[in-house]
Formats: sequence, structure tokens, C-alpha cells
Amino acid sequence: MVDIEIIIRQTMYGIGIGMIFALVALGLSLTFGKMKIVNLAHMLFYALGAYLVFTTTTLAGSFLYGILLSVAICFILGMLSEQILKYLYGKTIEYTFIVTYAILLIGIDIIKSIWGVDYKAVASPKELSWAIPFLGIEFYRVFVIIFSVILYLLIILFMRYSMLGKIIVAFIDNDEHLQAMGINPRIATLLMFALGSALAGIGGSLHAPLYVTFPYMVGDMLLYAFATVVAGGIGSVTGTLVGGIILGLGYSYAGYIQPFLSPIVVFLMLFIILIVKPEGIFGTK
Amino acid sequence: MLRYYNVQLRTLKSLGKWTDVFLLLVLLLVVLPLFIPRFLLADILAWSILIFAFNLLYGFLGYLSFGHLAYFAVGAYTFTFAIRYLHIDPLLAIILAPLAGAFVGALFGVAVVRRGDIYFALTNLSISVVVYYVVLFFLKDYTGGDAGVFVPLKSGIIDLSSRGTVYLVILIVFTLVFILYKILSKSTFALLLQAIKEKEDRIKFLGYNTFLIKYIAYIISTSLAALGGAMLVLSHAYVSASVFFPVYNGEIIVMSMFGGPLSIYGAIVGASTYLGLKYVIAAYIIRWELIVGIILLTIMVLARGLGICGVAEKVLKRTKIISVVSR
Repeated sequence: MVDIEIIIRQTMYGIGIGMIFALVALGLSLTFGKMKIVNLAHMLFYALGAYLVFTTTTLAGSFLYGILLSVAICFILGMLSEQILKYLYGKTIEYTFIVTYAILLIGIDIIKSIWGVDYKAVASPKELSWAIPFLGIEFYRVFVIIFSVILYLLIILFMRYSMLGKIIVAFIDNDEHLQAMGINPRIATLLMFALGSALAGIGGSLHAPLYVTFPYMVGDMLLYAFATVVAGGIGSVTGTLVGGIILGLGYSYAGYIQPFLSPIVVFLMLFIILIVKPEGIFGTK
Repeated sequence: MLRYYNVQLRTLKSLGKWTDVFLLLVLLLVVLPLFIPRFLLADILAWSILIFAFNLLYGFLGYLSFGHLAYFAVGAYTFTFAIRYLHIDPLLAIILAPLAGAFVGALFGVAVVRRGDIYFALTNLSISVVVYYVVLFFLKDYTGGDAGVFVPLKSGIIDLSSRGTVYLVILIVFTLVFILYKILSKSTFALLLQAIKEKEDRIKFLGYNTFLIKYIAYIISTSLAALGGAMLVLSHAYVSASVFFPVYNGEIIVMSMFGGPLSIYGAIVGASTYLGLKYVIAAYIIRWELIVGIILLTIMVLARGLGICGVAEKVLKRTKIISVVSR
């Protein structure tokens, strides 16, 4: 009854969008898991990535420069944002929520004053926008999946084998012991914010051709990113990836039946996941 | 004779308890309409009923709900449908709205109130998203989606189409809610909620069914939120789905924290400050977010999470005025 082509296509769409959810959500997951900061300002990097890609594609005609630029800028801005948010360590969650909400409002306004308030469409790059024969999928969707998988693998390898990555893992596990070893835990927090922001920037740049850039684009992604974080298990790297893909699949299958069903299905899935396993799929108590 | 005086004294004493309700009523009925347009005041009252509902869970129980707009929407659309499609008297529809809120709250509450923290926040958010998209698309023929529908308010026993009458009705409902909240905040029930906030296991050991207590608190909260939604529709005579967009749940938390979630006046102070700022600044400056964001940041940092009322109470306590003002 249902075509195999459609199933494959929707699966590809779902994995692609799920990967973007996971990329944006990873920074949130790390900072929320350890520092207990609901960092709404994190979503600004997602919007910034999308807008930078828009700028480079219109000015220089290059998609790749946009990604590289957003990585560099978001990395630096992420470090800067930590300089402000470090005052929030150890505060209550609601307090951090309000302060970052205020920063989000200010950031949206800055974006408005730089790029204007109107909708801006980003075309997917020419060399990636050819259709795959027989399936009718734009190659860009596959590119998103490949790119994010490589990125995620790099992150996992970085966490496991490099010294800086090990410091982050140790910090998440037990920050006092890390300090007793003579390592400044600020290295870990700085790196977590910078990496998370850079990934959110990449997520934004990859999402821009599939979506439309406008100042309030953070709204929808904010909901999905938080859903991903909690569904996958707070503070877990693999959990965020798995959560993102599961929610993304639900999003795309439901979207095939009726476009407006996607958010309903995503959040019903989140509801069910939370009732069955309150700490998330990969979460620990 | 002595006994008679005693009784009189006691009535006076218990009357003193309600001074603040009376003052608030006079302020909202006589003084404030002179300076502030009535539509804004009606809006503030409707939102502050919602903040009361939110504070009941957040202030006493410590459960932060990120989805009370869902119940706001349930109340608003129950009110709308009852008047527009069932042709029920608007005054009766006001009673129907909290009942619908209680029903939906009782339905979801079984699953939602088991745990606090992020679990509670996100399950509520899911409900909010689902309700929003159901309203926006599935019921679009009836709700009008983002474009919204008008609500005929002329049909009832009392003509509710004039601004003055509407404001009076909203004010009466608000006062009743405020009195209810005041009674509730002094009751054993609120004490139990606060005790659960401190340590739930101990209350369980004492023999209380903590689930039932939280469940009842949740249902009271949802029905109050639905009542607030009905008041919002009453004040605008119009309802649009765009008000209930799930991200705006953040505004509820902001209003609550602005006023101070622990104080009984927090809701009205927070709602009026935030909405006032938003309306006034948005009327003069296009980029209102920058200014509101900076003001928000300053107030939050200065008030250290206590809110305006929390700080005021602290200052008053230090100068010992608080014992004179009812407390």
C-alpha cells in the first residue's frame, strides 16, 4: 500500500532532521546536565549559523564558507557567553531560565537590527542540490546526514581520546576530583560552551536551506531541542543523538500524512517516553 | 455584655485580615482605571489569574509547569464554544470553563504529577504543544486558527458587550480567585504542599497519600488557569490561537518570577509589571525586546530570584511594618 520509496524518503528526511535536532541539542544537554543551566541563549547560535550561511551564499555564493564562518564565530561567541553565564553556576534553574531568556530577547533584537525582520530564503548549494535517481531525494538531505554523522563521530572520538575531551568527561563525572588533580575546571566549562555553541551554529547552517531564516526561527527549534535533550537523557552524548533521530523519524513520518501532525506526534512521543522512562532513553538516575 | 464585645472584637480582627482584598478592589475599581486604559487592566487581571494558577504549583509545591497555556487555551475555547456554538449564557459559560480545565487536568494529571523538576516541566510542555496544534489545525473550522473568531457576548441575561460591564465581571471573578488563593495559602493543604516540596518521603512516612495531594493541587491549578483563559476571551470578545503558542509559556514563568512566586500579591504585581512594560514599550519603540530584555536582566539580578514582592516583604519585615499590614 505504502510505497517503499516513500518509506525510504521519509526515513532519510527524518534522520536528517533528527541529526540537526541532536547537533543543536548537544550543547544544551551538556550544560544542563552538569551545570544545571537552562541555556535559552544557546538557541541564538543556531539562528546565527543560519544567518551567516544566508550572508555568505548571497555575498560570496559559497555554502562551505558559511559553515566555516559560523563554526569560528559561534566558537568564539560561545566562550564569551560563558564569561557571562559563569555567574549562574549553582543558582536555581528558574533563575538561570529568566536570565538566559532576557539574553535571548536581547540577542533576537540584535539579529533583527543586523539582518532585518523579513523572511530570508537560503538556496541549497548547487553542487549538492541534484536529485538522487529513482528516489527523488535531493542529495543535500543525504549530505546533511553524512556531515552530521562524521561530526558526531569526531565528537565522540574527541571525548574519548584527546586530553581536552577527557577533561570534559572527567568534569561531568566528578568536578571536585578534577580540581584535586590540579586541573582548572574552567577549562572544561569553557570548552563545553564553545563546542556546544559551534555545533549549534553548524546545526543552524545545515538547517537553513531546509527551512527559512527569520528572527523568531529560534522558537520552534527551542521546543524540539529541549524535547531531544530530555527524551535522550540529560547529559548523555549518545542519548542526545538517539533521541534526536527517534523524534526526527516521528516528525517526518507524521509530516508525510499531514504536515501539521509532526509537532503533535513529536511531543506525544516525548510524553510517552517520559512516562515510561522518566530519566530519558539513555539517562541515568 | 463582655461576650458581645468579644464577638465584635473578633469580627473586627477577622475583618482586618481582609483589608488587603478590600484595598486591592478599591484600587482596581476606582483608582487605576483613571490612569490605565480598562482593556489593559482587564488583560492584566486575566493573566494574573493564570499566574495564580501557576504559582499554586510553583510557589507551594516547587513544581515548575512549562505548559499552563494549554489549560489557558482549554478555558478560552470552552468559553468560546459554549457561547458561539451552544448558545449558552456567557455567565454560565464562565462556570463551564474551569470545569473543563479541571476535567482535562484530571485526565493528564494522573501521568504528570508523579515527579517534579524537568519531568513535570516537559510533560506539561508536551500537553501545551499538542493542545496548540489541535486548536490550530484539527479544530480550525471552529476556532479559526490564527485568524481567530469573535465571541458574541450580547446574548446573555446581562449585556456583556460594553467595556464597563465586562471589566466589572472580570474584577469580581479576579477578587473571588484572590480570596480563594488567600484562604488556600493559609490552609493546611498549602502547608502539606510546602512540606512535600521540602521532602516528599517524610510526608509519605507520616501516612499521607502525597500523590493525591499533588493531584488535587494540579486540578485546582488547571481549573484556575482555564478560568483565566475565559476571562481573557471575555475581555477581548475575540480569541486567536496565536496567544497560546507554546514558547510563550516562558512569559508565564517570567511574570511569576517578576512578582515573586512565594507571595500572594506576586501574581498581580508580576503580570502588571511585565504586561505594562511590554505594552508601553512596544507602543513607542519597535524593537521592544532589547529594552524589555535589559530591564528583565536588571530586575532579576537585583531581586536575586525573589521577585518584586519577595524583596518588598523582606524590606518591610526588616522595618517591622509587615506586622501592621496583614500577614
